[in-house]
Amino acid sequence: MKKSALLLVAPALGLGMVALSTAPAMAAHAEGSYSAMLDELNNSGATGEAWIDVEGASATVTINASGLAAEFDGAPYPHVQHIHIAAQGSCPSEAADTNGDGIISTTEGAPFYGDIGTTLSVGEADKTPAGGLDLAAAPSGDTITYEETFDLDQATQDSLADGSAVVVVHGLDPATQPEAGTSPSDLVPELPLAATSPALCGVLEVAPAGGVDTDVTTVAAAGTEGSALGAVALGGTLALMTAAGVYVVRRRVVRDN
Amino acid sequence: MIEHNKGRRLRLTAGAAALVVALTALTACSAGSGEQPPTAAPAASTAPAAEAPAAETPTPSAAPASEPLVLEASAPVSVQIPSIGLDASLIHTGIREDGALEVPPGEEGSPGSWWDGSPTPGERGASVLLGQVNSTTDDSGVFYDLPRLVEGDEVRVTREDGSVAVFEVYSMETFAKDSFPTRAVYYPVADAELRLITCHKGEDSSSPYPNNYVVFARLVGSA
Repeated sequence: MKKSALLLVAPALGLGMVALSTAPAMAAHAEGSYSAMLDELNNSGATGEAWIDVEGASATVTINASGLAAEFDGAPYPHVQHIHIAAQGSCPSEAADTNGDGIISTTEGAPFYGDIGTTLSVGEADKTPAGGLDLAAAPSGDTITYEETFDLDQATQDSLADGSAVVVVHGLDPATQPEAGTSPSDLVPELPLAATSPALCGVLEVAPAGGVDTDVTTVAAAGTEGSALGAVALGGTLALMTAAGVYVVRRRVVRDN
Repeated sequence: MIEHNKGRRLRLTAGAAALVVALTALTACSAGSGEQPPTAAPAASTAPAAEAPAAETPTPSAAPASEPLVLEASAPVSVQIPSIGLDASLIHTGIREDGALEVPPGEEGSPGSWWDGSPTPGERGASVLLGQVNSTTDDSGVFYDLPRLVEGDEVRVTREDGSVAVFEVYSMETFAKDSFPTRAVYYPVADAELRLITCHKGEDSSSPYPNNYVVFARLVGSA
């Protein structure tokens, strides 16, 4: 197989924007699980799902996709895939095709999903944005079954936590694309535009944590908002007292620091 | 790209709305009746080829053999489960600040809910419906009878666009709340599926409902 390792010019923007986004209650860390339905872009005909379990900085990333372009130059088609970060946390619509050539390029999609935060490469290959276009380290063929465990950088963790992390899988079959598909890529002029343009996109949403309090007893014990439970006022009061106690303890800890 | 049945619109709305009021009919439990049936521990999905559910109302459209059956997005309005006589309206709930799912209210006669972070019922992925097992005044909440469901039972979800997504139960499981398998329940499955979640009693007497009861169903048609 032809191996073309290409360096990505890592866009330097990204980071500053994280600070601007609204901080969620769980702020700094991204502990938990995230899921995304991956929907086709550019009429790729592909479909897929992503699931990420985060423990500390360690993430286990699962990507399953099918219906992708199968071959490129007689070899299994490499599909670079990334977690894009720190923009709107959305996938581009057809309106994103600002130059009107019929293809949403990676650049045209960037205002929606942002720059690369993490490269979902295979094995020990570079997981940073710098490894973003390493075709040799990308999963290949029409079906992706990917599961890797590695550490996430802070920027990607921040985007997961604030809802702006987006999985994007690249690589379209030029034969299925408008004429512009064979013109030089916006990222790598040696490749056709179709080869680097996005084929699948999905916003990573946090999965619910733990069990579900679908009984009145535990709802009261948890002291949650949203459920007006007049009949269990005692439980609610106890929960409030507990919450207040925790608050005092927290203040002490802060002061001791 | 995706198969859907936009053209089919049912005049079910009035009936569905009226039936919601009838929820209190479920309040038939005495102190001793809190026992739930034992839980089947199903091995994954070996459901028989979906036989067309008995059609009182319009026959669900057959799924095309090649394309997976999927409906356009449309928020759920109510859920009907004929085998246990359940008909409940659905509100929309989100995620609490502690990361757990927000649940519908606990008063007697309260509706169930759809977690609005999940796909709408009939869309690709795992759509999540929640219901209280009990209420503030007695043992039976809107999803009290969920453990009576068996494989093959039909679950119908009426949606805002007037269509009804018809699901078939393929698995029922009990999970301890403190070791809830997030991935198994919420994984964004490739087909259109449904999860019905309530609470469940357990051996542990320190907590009346230490478990969650989860019913897994998949889309088999629409009406």
